[in-house]
Amino acid sequence: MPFAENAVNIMTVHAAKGLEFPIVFVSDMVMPFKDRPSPIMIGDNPLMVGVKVPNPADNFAMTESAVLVMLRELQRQKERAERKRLLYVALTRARDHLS
Amino acid sequence: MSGTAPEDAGLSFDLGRSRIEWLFTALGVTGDAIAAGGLVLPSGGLRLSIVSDPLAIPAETGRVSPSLLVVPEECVGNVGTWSGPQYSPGPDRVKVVSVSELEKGPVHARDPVVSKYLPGVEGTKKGTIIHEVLRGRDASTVLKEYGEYSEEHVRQCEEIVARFWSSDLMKTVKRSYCELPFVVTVSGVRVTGSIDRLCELPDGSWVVIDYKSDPVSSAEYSLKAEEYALSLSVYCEAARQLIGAGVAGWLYFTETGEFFKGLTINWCKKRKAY
Repeated sequence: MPFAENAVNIMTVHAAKGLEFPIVFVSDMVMPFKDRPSPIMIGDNPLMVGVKVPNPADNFAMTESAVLVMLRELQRQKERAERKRLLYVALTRARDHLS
Repeated sequence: MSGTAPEDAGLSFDLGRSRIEWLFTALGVTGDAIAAGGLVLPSGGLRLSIVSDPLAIPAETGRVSPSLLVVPEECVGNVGTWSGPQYSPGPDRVKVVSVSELEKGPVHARDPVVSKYLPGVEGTKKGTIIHEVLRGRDASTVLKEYGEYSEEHVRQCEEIVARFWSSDLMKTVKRSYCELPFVVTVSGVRVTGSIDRLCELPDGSWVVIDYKSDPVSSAEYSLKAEEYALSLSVYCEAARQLIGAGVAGWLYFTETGEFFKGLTINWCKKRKAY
């Protein structure tokens, strides 16, 4: 797809992959990361299923199982790693100035 | 890049809550660097400028704006309107009587042929309405648009569409495209138009279908095929250039719900051929 030369191109980081521009503005730097906890999680090994379970020690209140906590942490790390890769792509698109 | 400096400097990556916090951690930005207006990065000697006051950012005040469109004086204050195309009634098609009918007694000299569908609607307008519904538009909307709405007309239009789609040919098509616009050069003349429908058959061959809404009987198909040979040939040539293969041309008579293989002109030999 051709890009206008004497104009500002607004695009996603994914769309900017492989491209280079004289000046690049990276927006949304302060947007907080949102972790969206899922009540049920399945690991890479499908036998590893994380769910909430009734806890007899706490009047059978639904409590996150250890597997769920672990899978959620793994998921969070994966998402963070992907965000880091995307940020790297965004910051390395600039030829002269990065703002 | 803009953002708020993290309150607790030196956060680990894992505890960073936003991209700007990651950046502060990665580049080792401290309160001193902010106060100094930036820092030189150890790797590569690049300078990172930090501005705390947005108003201190040098900004170019000039701007380029599009030139205004000057409305001609005679058009000032006029509000645009839209009205549907105007149709003037064309000549009625009249019944052809045989000699034996003539011998039986007096006949009306101009007994008009009455269409089964949308009777009373002017021919060109009727054709447009039928083309619109066959391309998939809602019959009620189209009829209202052309000032011919009635429940009976809606029913008739829906019948035409249902009949077309339940035909043996349409039931078997693999792919079907309608109202394909084209510009094609035939015999040195640039011709523009749109193909009513282009279909791929199960055997991989393609056909152009041209809708005809004239009130015709099956006995008149050959005559009509002669009449429409030129236009159908142009559609077939346009379709051939679109798909890069030979295309057959068919006429679809909405009045009878029947297909008839049309005549096409061989542009190379400049003669009519099947």
